[in-house]
Amino acid sequence: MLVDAPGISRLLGVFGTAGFALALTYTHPALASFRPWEPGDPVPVFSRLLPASGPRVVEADDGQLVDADPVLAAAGPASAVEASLTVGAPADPIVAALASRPPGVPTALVDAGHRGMDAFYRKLALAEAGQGIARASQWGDSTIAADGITSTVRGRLQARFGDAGPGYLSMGMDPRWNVRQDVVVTPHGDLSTVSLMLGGGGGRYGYGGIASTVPAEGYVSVTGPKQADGSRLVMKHFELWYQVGPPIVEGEGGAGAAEGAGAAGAAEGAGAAEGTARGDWWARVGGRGVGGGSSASESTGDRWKLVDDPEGFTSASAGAGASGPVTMYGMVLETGGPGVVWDALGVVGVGSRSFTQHNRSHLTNQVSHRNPDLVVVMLGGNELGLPVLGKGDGGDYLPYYIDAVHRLRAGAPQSSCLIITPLDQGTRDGGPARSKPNLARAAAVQQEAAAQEGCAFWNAWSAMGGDGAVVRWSSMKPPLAWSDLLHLSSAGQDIIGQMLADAIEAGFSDWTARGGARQPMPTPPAPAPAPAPAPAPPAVRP
Amino acid sequence: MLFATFDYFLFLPVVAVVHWLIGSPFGRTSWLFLVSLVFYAAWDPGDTVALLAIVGISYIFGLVQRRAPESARGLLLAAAAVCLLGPMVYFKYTRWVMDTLSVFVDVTVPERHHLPIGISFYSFQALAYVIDVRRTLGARSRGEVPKHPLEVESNPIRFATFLLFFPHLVAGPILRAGTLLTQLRLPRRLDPEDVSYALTRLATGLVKKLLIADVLRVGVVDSMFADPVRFGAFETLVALYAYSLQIYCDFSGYTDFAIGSARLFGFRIPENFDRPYRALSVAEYWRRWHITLSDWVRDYVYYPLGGSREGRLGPIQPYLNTYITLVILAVWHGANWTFVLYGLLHGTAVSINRYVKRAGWSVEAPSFVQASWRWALTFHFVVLARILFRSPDLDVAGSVVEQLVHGNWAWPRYSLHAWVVLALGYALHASPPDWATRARAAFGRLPAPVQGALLVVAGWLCVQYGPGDSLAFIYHDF
Repeated sequence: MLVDAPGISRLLGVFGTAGFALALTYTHPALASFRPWEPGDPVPVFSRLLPASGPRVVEADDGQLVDADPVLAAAGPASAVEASLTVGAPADPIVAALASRPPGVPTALVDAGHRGMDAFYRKLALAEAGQGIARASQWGDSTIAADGITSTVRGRLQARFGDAGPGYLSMGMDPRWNVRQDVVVTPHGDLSTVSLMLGGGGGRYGYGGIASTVPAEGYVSVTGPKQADGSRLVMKHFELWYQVGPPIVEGEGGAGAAEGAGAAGAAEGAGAAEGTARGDWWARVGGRGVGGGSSASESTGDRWKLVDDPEGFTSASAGAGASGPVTMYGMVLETGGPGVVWDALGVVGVGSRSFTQHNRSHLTNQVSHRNPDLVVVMLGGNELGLPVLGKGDGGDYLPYYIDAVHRLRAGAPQSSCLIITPLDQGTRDGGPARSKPNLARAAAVQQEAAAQEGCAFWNAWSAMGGDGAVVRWSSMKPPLAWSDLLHLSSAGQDIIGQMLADAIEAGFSDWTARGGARQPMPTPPAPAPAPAPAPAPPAVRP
Repeated sequence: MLFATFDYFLFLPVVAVVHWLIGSPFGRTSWLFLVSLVFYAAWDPGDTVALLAIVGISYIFGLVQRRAPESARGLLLAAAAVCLLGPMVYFKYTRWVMDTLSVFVDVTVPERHHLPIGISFYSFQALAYVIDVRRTLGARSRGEVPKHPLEVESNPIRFATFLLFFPHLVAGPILRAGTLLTQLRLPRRLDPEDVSYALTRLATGLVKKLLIADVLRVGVVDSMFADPVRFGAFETLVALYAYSLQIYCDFSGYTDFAIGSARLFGFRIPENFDRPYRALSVAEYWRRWHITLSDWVRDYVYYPLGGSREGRLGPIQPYLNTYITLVILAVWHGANWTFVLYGLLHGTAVSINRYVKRAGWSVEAPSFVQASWRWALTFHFVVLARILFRSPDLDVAGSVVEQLVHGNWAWPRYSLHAWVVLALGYALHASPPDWATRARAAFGRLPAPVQGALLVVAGWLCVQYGPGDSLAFIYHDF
């Protein structure tokens, strides 16, 4: 051993120093963040030798994920704030009827007074009877920007009530997010796109929060969804949503209306003569020209081109002529019904406060023109770090959130409304992966907002499993959440989409059983404290 | 127990200090045997059954061969191969084979088996021991001098420690029996230089694993392979570059831990990597990547097949041997058709390298321009072939290729942190090798308390800028 003395001495010196340094972190609270272990955590080394515990999900023979331990899946809420959230008691017959989709936790809609979904359920009942279209529009962030959850809900409802088409499609998109999986949207030419998130565009971002300036001779073509037999869905209704105005000034993204200006009558744009003159637009369905005209105008405003084509078409396109660029918002493609349309209006990075970027009357007119039967708001995932959420019960966040709901509902006050919480998100900031701390508060605030606004509420966070869910979902094979702990994988999105569709259908069954269709329509909520919407300009009909 | 954890940094120094405080060499070996068992059982105590079975079988076959006549040794070797590789084949390949067969005939596909961790590594090492004993005894019986002489180990504890030694037990390096058994038989000592060297390797492993591999895995790679259709062409390409760096830093980081840990007990175990992404040909890549596995398949598969000699099939024979060797090497990683294709792809590339060299088209001392394009071609071949290596199935691999070809070229969504790590990682890979040597030398000159403090700082940096969790090493799955 003597020959090894220098080596052992060095060994003891190194690890003794390291041990001393680590021990120092326990001597003063200011050093607590440097501690490698806290009392109460698993005991290092020895805990490795004990059997592992925790919820497990296993893959069944049919490929479905099932609970290895159903008792754990039915475990109660993890925190006091979580306990304050209404997710539907297990004894609730609606919850009991929901399908088990592990690792998700069956979660019903919370609809105080059973009226929050009334308008939409009425249209669903009509669609089921072969009459009309039930239109839902869902606003959100990256959670739905890739149409993951919304595509599942759309598919489920269209399978039961009928496929009324893909609905509203933004003309341009963030190319990193394939906004819709079911339709092929192909831009031709170098589109200049502004969005609610990136700014620019004078506050005019269209129905989907995205506005694109199509260059001269550029265009966008859309091919409709494929059906089970491989053929394309035949659509009979087309709309082009576009902007008119004075010449486009460089850097303003193709629009010039300032916050608070009326949609049809604002006379802004002074000095615009130095910009690029707006050009002529054109539209085709099924290869046939269905209209065209100038997008030049003295003032900035919005226009729509509506086409009803009894022959039907499977593709459509719209673009700018040689005379100059045209700013376009999107297209609507529908079959004419009966059935369901579920618009996915996700913009990466947005939160409830982002909607203040919209020219308020512009947004109101856009929503008014689309006139959805159901406004779905799924926001907040990008606002979990807001200081207002970190204070107390997070109640200071409520006005921000309600303001966004007001802005979205102002154009369709008679519509139903559904508020969905953000999904669970995690962080690895200086420690093991865990859920972000403010999710329970955000969910509680949003539930309160739903109650105040007469909206239905669905707690997607609880449906995932609440605190720690995203960590569990990301560690599954195949992974149900990306390892960034922010986004769900396709498989995870599908589970959430299925659970949301379960909740909507269960709510519809309950509404039907209660004789909802025989009840008078609920009174629209009191007008939002916002400027009265300017009258929408007349739609251009062929 | 994962290397890059607080648990391991408590476990290792205690085990090392106790080891050196034990006076007798055999006592030290017994201690290593005991703690290695504990280390392995920390994953799953049930897995020790398979491990001890492999230890017992190879030990017995070693003894039996020594006493058996030469004529029976070939049969014994075949029996040993079946017994030693049987559990690995059963756990790893049964479901895949039956699943493939079920396409053609009506067979029941069994449930997916739990794969004992490290079984691919220790099974190969155990078989190598039996083969080397057989070759040594065979050469001596013919009156020849064995190329890699190996004496049969009769001490069961020493033999078990050779296979179980915890630094290399779970993911290699795959040692030739002579490398470690010889050192176990000799007295060992610990110099201060050994401690300094070990610390630099441990710190290097920590940084490679937590600050590079895991950051890229969490921030770039896993998301893309979980959902390739949601990523554009540029994002996919960057994710593939990131994956190549991730798997290198993950596995070579593991090797750094293994070499550093072993050095604290006075053992020298071989390197497993030699900056593989600097290779100018795919054949050279395999001489720089997972060197001990490449050597294993060369010695125990490629050479027995005939190596580069022309056999019954004439000039085609070496190419066939290359294909067989590389497919076996690839399928060793997992039971999946993606690995078969991966092996075939690399077999084709190595065969092209060989053909070009044999035809005299290859330049021995390439100019900078020639070297550059050869490097670029080799590097991108390796990066793109990893689509098959990483994808869980051919559908996902197809989706990744589809996105590469048809996806958009918008700027990737990866964080600045991930970009910085990606750039720094490749920059370090490209740095002159003597930088690391000089850094180690400089570290070795520091007083022990300063070394200890630097180790704590390295650990703290990894906690602050790593992903927070200690994620499993990729090669633990193999």
